[in-house]
Amino acid sequence: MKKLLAFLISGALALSMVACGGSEPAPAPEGGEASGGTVSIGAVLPLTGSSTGEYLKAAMEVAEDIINNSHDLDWDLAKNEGILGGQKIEIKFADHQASAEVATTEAANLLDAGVVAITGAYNSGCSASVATQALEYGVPMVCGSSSSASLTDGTTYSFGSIFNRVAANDAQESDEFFEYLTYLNDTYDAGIKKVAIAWINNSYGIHADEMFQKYAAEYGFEVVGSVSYESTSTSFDTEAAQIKATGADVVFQASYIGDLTLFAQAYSSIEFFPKAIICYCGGFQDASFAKVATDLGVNSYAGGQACTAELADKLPVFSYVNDLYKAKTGQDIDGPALEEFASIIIAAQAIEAAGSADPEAINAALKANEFAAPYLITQKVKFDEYGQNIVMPAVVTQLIDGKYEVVYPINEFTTSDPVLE
Amino acid sequence: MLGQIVINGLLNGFVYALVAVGLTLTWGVMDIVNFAHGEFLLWGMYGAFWIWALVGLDPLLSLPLVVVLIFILGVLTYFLVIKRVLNAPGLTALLATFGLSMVLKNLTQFFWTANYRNVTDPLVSSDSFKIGGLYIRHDYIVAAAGALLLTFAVILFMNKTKTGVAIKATSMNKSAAQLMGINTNRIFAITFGLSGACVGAAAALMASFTPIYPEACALYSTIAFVIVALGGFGNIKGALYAGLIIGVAEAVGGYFIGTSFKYLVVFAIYLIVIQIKPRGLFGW
Repeated sequence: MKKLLAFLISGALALSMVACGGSEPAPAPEGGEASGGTVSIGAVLPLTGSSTGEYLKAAMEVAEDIINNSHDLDWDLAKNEGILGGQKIEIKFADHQASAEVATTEAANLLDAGVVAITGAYNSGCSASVATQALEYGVPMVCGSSSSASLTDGTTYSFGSIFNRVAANDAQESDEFFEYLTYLNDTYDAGIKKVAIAWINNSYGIHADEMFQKYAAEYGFEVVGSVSYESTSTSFDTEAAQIKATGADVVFQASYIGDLTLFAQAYSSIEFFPKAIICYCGGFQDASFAKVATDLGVNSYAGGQACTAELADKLPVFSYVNDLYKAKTGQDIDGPALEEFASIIIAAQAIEAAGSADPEAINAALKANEFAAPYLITQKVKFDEYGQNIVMPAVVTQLIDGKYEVVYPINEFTTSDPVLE
Repeated sequence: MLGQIVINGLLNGFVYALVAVGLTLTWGVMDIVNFAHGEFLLWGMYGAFWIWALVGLDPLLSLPLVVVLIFILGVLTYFLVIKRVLNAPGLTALLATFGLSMVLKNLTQFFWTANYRNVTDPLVSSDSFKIGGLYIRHDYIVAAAGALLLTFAVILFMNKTKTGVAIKATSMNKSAAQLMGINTNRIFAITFGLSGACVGAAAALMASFTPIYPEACALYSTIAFVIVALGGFGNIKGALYAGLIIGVAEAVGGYFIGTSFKYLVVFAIYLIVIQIKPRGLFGW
């Protein structure tokens, strides 16, 4: 009996190691009718199986509140109640469980239910699944925080005609990060020459590594290590030791919150303190990581953010949004949550600009207009033909004493000088 | 660097063994595969976290309380789920625990959402001490000591107490044990509770260095199954040795063939061993 069970379990283990993929063809698109005085927008998020889903949902609900109700802000969308002369928006949420396959099914369900635009999906691979479905139905997608450059490179996927992404992609981030390192060398004589990267083995990590390699060469930095890992690993001590052995001056991370936390502990435990640890969105932006870094007593973590609570005084609309979000969640809004907030706002602005809830008209409006974004440092969003926001929507922030300080670029929004370990 | 990798692997192996000791009791002794073992670990970690978050008691100090809580969960599992299917066809109990695993996992999502939670500023940190150029983490050392103590405590319990001997007797021949006056129903309940207590101790020891979220224990649970099969069903010392073997194999394998493939080595070892020794390296 035990032998039989051992074989059964080995079979189950083998099955559990197999990654599933693919998607089924979707039925023909249906119209995008507003119903019952409401306009439905879909949102496919990792509501289970990931840390950020609930927070992203909360940010979208804040956007829904701002659109549907009158708020005392110097911003028409917030002042007025609803869109298209008073219609409310309704967000229909679905959970993709961080699985690209589930994302396909959930997106199809929402599209069948008649949503006029779709948003999400945080994980880059899931965003690709949702966008593929949206293309089948001819419904536009506004993607908030997925960062893989492949989503908008115009070659990897064919959904560029309906796809729009608010966040900086990893190509834009890489460019900015290496520009920042060059600035550190020039201004602070940081002596940064060798760089290495630890990246999660999925769509997000693979493309982050590609862009890291490309821009490191472009800016003249020597790549001394590239270590990939599985997100399900129970510890990252081996990976951390490998990274340390490369002798890198600066380490890049493409990691989610759980793995980044374990990496941070592992680096500190082997006394590995590079001059900077630069993070591609992901876990660095999760507010809980600030506590981890503070606990470890390190100020070396930096990364891209769409905004930070430290800018509340300079951006009143952002401050207002942050207060609403904080009342719901108990914490400041982070980069991905703000980008998902933006995705709902922009979908509503596009519906307003289109003058109807017709998906085709909304899509045309998304591609043709520049959208006011007073909650972002850049104040506006504009998509290119493949859907990338071409107004660089991120600044380099560094976690200094538990606060996300803006350290680059140097302008009126800079809140602190960088700290070098 | 290889020395550091081996040390990391050994320390990680102790953590694996810690999780596997509880499983070997139910699988090896009762012949029941508890697929909800990972969720017991998870609930233990959430228990330790919430005691820390609400009362401020460090997981190391709340260990006895967590042990009791998960012992109760184990006993309840026996009476509410296992007892009813004990005499059903072979795979029924296995499928029942699989169902329980799903229920507990979904309840975890329902009660505590998918958010990551960390015990910040724990009593024993992830700092290290250095011996001959090798870094040894404080929290891992405590977990390793816990694994050793737990293993020997369970061995002592099984060999030196009347209940332990009754558990062994029941595992060898349930009918004969009943004829000898052993209340096998009670013994099974205690065994499930004991398994829960072990995993509760593991959870409290791990809570200070593992991010806690609903999927946190999935791989620990899978690896625990491998360790029990490798160490020999019901062999508590075997689970400890197998845990160390798996820990080192994972670390060294990852170092030589790439960290993305470190679990390939683990599962390859498992598949090879059960072909050659189906009852495990240290099984009878």
